[in-house]
Amino acid sequence: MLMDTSALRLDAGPIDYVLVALYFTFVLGIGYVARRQVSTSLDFFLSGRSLPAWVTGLAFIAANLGAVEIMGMSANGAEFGMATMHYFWIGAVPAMLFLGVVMMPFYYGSGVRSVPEFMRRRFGTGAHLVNAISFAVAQVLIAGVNLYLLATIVNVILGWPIWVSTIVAALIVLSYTALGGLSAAIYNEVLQFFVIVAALAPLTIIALHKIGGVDGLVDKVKGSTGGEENLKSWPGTGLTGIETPWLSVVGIVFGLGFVLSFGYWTTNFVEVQRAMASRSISSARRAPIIGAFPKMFIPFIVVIPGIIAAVIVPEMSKYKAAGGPDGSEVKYNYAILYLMRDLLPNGMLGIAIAGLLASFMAGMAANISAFNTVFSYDIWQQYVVKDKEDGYYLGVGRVMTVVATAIAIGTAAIASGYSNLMDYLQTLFGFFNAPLFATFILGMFWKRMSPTAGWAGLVSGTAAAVVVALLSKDSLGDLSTGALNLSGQGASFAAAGAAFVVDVVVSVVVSLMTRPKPEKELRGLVYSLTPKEDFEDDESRSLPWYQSPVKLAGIGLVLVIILNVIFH
Amino acid sequence: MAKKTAGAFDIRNIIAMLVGIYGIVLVVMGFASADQHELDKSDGLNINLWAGWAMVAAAALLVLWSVLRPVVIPPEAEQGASGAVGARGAAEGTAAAGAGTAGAAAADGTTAADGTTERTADGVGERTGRVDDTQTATHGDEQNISTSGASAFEPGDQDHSDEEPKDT
Repeated sequence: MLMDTSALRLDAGPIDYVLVALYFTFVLGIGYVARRQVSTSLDFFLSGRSLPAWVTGLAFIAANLGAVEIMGMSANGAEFGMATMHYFWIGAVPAMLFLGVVMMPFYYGSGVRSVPEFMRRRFGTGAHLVNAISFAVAQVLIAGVNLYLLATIVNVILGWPIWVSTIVAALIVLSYTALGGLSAAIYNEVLQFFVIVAALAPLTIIALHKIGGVDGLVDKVKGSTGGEENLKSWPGTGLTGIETPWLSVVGIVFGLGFVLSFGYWTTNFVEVQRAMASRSISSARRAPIIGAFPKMFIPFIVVIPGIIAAVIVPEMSKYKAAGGPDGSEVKYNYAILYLMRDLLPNGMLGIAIAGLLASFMAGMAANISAFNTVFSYDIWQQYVVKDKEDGYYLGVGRVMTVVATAIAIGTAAIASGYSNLMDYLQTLFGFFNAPLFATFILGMFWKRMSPTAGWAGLVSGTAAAVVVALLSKDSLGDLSTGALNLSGQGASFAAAGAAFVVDVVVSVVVSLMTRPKPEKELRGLVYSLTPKEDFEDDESRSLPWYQSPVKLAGIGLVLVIILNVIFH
Repeated sequence: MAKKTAGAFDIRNIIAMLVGIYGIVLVVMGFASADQHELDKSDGLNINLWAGWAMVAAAALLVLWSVLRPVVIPPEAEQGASGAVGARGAAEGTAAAGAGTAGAAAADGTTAADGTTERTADGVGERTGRVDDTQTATHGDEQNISTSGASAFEPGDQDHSDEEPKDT
């Protein structure tokens, strides 16, 4: 499936390689230094819960700023234009603010070490097993997908064989995550964030300069294939594939903005783990909120270059005019790479390559560090080998880091042969995510919800999403029957929405028929049964306004609404 | 007791080092090798030069931040490993911590700036803390989280590095 993409080979010179090598020296150095602070399993898995909020906040978004995000969102920018902004302003920021304001107190305040562990304390082992196993399996496979994407990009731009870059990248991620645990991953994510910005910001500026500034961008896009539609974010019919404008808006707001994004940002342990590493409850709440501010502005250096690439890169604009035919050498995914090839001189090129590699590794390291925590605490310690000393579980974590990396290399090898299969697997994992938010939010605010309802809701919600995907036109490839007139993003919004509704209905019905957990076991887990003091400490009572999670979140919400209005 | 700061191992300084080196290399490249071909490529904009200056400036700001608000390493940071129970207790301790000596100090920006440290390492669910170098706080169970302070770039007590308004 790899075509001759030598047209995309970047003209990297010695100085570019030196700059990339320098970056990796720093990455490994951080792993080595972070090792010195790891002496307990909590240090390894949760950074000893000691990090300041700006560090965990930046790591929170950097963990998500992986391959899928940068290549995928610039590709969406090239294809759909400004509507891609919804993935950030509707599909991320509100959920991050909600996590900090509403849900983080439960996660951090109850003292759990992982999201599945919260599930176990609230609903017992049924829901816990469903959640822990689906999460762990998804993480190693996604790590493999990240690894494969990284290797293909390195192959395309530098000409290295796929297997060489797969193994080299895996060894680098392995060495710092196995040495320094979550701290090494988080500190590297912060470093990666800066390098990614240093790579993409100049690229955006130079691309804007080339197209003639903002005015030039507006004029040229109007005159291009996408036309004026590509300059508007609402109602986003191109993005959703839903033709009726108001239904498209509903799809974006409810499907993407509510179910999908809340499911992802508030229950995905890859993200939540970063905030849980904060050193106090108010820092933990601030982490996703602080992260939301840069998150609002990241699309300007990811989506805008994509939009520009579709206009000024001749291959891209031809490809777009032809409607993005399958089997073409050109792909929307390569939008950023084309810009790098055309616009960056040696020097800046090296930094841009380092930034891209940084983003790929950020994604993979995040998957692996979340995986080994859930595996060690939630699967191994809970069900396999209980009651050993802490050092034992630290050892398990280190071993599992190696195992997960090995599996990821294997997954990457499979992905290189069956890329469609990987797409569908990712779609499937999305289905596991969709009902989680419903179960969590019900469980946190309704004390009556019973343990049986916990797992029953999850399973039936997931099943509902799968059914919708099967009925859609193309969500699961040939398996989809096309009974529903939905395709692309619109189909996944609908699947997520169905998962949410079915989860809520099943949970309520089952709860009313089964016995709830005794109330005394639910302190810290259910809002009405938790004294307010559990959610705050002396620090959180006397914070100035710019540190108060709720006030910060309010500012964030206003800002994101302003952005939506300006760029509607 | 002299305060020991994280110095070069502060994550902010590590980032500043990398970004600073990148910036210097780019500035040199911008001056040295801006031939017409390269300039044409980047649409007449000497991007190496300008991006280089921006990175040098960003690095300088990070260093300035870490100088103004240094990470201070608590001297008792070197500690041994612990058992799972201790670590777990610590995690829950954080949650239950309602009252304690450190919270108040940490909330007060000016006190904190003097190097207050705040710990949540206590197996019995009580927050311990210490103000300046006095080390008066009680430690029910010192064996766990405090080790995180042993790292040179552990920001364990930069109580307000996250309080910088510019973060937002």
